[in-house]
Amino acid sequence: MKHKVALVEDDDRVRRSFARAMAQSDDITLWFESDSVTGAIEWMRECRDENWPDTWLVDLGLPDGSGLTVIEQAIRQHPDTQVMVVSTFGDEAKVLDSIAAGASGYILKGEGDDEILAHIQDLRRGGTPMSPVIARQVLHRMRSMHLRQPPVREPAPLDAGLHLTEREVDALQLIARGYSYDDVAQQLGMSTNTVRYHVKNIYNKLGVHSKIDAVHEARRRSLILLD
Amino acid sequence: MTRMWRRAVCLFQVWLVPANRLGVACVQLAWLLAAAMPLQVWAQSGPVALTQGWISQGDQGAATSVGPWMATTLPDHWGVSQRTGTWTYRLNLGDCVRPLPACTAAGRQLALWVPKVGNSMAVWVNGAKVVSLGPVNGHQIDYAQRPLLIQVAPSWLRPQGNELRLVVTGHPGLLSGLSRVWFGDYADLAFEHFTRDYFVIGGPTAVIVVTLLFSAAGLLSVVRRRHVATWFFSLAGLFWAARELVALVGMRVMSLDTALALALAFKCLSLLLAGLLLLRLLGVRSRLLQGILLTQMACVPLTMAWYGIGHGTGLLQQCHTLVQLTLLILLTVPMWVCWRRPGITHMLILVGCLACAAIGLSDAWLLHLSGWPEGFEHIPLTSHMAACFLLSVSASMFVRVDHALKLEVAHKDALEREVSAQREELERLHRRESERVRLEAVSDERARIIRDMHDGLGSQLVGLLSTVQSGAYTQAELTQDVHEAIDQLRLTIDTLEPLGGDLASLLGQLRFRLESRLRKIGFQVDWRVDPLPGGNELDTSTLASLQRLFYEVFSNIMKHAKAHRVVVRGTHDAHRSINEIVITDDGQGFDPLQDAGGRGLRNMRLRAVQLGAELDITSQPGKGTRVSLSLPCGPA
Repeated sequence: MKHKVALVEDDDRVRRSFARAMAQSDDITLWFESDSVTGAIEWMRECRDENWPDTWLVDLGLPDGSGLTVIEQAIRQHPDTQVMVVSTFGDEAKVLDSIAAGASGYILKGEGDDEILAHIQDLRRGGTPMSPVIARQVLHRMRSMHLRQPPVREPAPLDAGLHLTEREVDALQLIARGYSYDDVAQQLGMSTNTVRYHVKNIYNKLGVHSKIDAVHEARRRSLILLD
Repeated sequence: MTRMWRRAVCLFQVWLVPANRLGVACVQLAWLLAAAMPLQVWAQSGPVALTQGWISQGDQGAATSVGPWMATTLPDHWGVSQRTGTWTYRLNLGDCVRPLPACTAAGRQLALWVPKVGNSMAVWVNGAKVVSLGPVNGHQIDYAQRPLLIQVAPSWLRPQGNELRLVVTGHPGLLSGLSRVWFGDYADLAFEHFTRDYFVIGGPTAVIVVTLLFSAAGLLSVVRRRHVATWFFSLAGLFWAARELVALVGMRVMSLDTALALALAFKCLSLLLAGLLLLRLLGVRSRLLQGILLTQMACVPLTMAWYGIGHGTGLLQQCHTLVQLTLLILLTVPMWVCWRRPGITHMLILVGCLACAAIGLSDAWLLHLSGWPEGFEHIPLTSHMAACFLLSVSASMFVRVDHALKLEVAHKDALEREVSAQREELERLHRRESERVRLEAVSDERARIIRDMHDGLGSQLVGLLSTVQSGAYTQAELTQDVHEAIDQLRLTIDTLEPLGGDLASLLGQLRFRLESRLRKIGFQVDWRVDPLPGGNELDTSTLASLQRLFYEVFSNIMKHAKAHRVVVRGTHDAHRSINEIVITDDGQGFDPLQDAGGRGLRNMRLRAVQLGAELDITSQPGKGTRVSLSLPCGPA
């Protein structure tokens, strides 16, 4: 069964470029696309569980609102959904906000078609990029003693209890200094896949708050329905 | 009832007076009033006062000696009757003994009580000497202060015609004479006796204790704060205590004349110091008055010396009188001050002074000036002047301190209000200043971004457009240029990201941005960047400059080097306090001498100079290029 991808993006060319990239892949299919928040939300409401996409790709700057709304709604409906932010420049602050809202990572558009495909393949394998700036900010949020830099931005109102394992911290520190996943794997004596796994875990931990909220919300709703 | 009253007075006198100066004065007044009542009123059923008798000069105690007797009445005040030397009084006890059998049958004892006599005295009953108080002709000892109670043995008395003779010796400098003599029930007289005795001894003792305590407190205060008024206060108290002590027990350890002289000298000194203190407390800075008081104070030791070389106490007595007169005149000062500047503290001092004057004048009147023989029995209250003065000064001080404390509280409140107002003003200014600095920073940042856009992306897009229009572009070149333009834009956005001044993150982010291009070219990147601490001082524009500089290096490698492998080393040298970044490639290299200004090298050098960093570029054709940047860093 093919991996189902939903795309919410207002730029036609980007949508086309994604469609082209996915058409080249044997195991990924573009399941749903929308150019607005409203369109996506309406589709979600109608969507049956068996038709729910495995991965959502969401642009943040949409004409009728913020992609964050789409992310939140998707997580609320299916807390285990994988949501990726589609960003032109990897604008770190926005990426962190969307991760807090429940996104699992981000991919860069504006590379080439082949780049997008590589991204999507990565995604399929469970990988997502992490820039040094994001790594650094995550470390800072942990209030780790490893970093001595002063606070650079008010921490987002979440992850007060963010707890990372020692390996995750090691990986983050190397990523923050520009080491690639391969470099990190070599330095820490692990496979590149393990590094990807760690990074994914870190993103999950950052967004766990919103996901727990979503689960609670889902339960509450089902209870209400049961009444 | 009257007896109960006097007993209460006595108890109060003995136990409470040392702790209460005001009590002393009140009790003394009460006593004065009580003493003014005719003794007979409350003694009519008990003891009888002998007031009629005969007197003869010399020691006529023995019944055999019969001098020329003159009739006299008691009390006999020698200061009034002008007697000196030794005189014998003959009193008839005959009528008084009539109820004797009844008394003795009831098991009661009889007694003679002499409230005041002196200096010394011998008592003869029916020709037999029964008691002597000091030697006959004892000029140098004074027993006149304390009352004398004689228990009468039945064997001394005859059934009829009992005769009492009292041989009295006086001293010219002291109050001599004989008070009334009381005869009656021992228990009744004992009460009268002990009441008077307590009063005579207890009053001055209380005054000594209180003045010494106050002086000690004053001296302690003087040690900490050298305050002239406190000096006067303490010394006046000390001299007064010395005067009381000498008057009380002085003649037991020295001659009567010496004790008298010392008591007078101490009293004069104490009074003069009190006068000086008074002027200070009232804020009167009259040099004339101070001069008069100081001169008299200097006279005191001189007259004392005069006495010391054997000239008697006459001069001292005169000095004493002068001092008293001076202080009496000085009394007008507090009156005048209270008139001009009425206030509770001045009034308190005036009241104290008036009380002192009243005591002194009443003593002088009763003992010396009035010419009343009854004055001889009066107990001098002069001792208590000190208590009155201390009380008024203390009360005045208390009021002043209280006032000062209230003022201080008010002052503190005002100060706090002022401080809080100032703080608010400061905070307001600070907010304004912070806002100004913030706006300035925003404005600077905006200017920098515009410059970056203009020099970087803007010029690149313009160049791109013109080349595209000329049609001389291959697909690959176009892709390359567009990629570069996107890189430029991303780099500019990166400089807006919060890197927190971390050099390693800056390098890392640059690599992250260039990663896909590097991968496409097929470079092998060997990345070894250690933590680079101490970058906290790097502001965004410095970081932006560094980013541009490194971008230039990578860009050169990608465009020109034709390299296979790029090595990036970032190390921190704590010893030299620098961060060093070395970028080496194995490309074709170039000749720095020939190509000194090209490839943006001049730009890089300029940036390095602006950053205060050391830039070293070594290259040789065919042997790759090594770019090293040493950046001083602050403490880690």
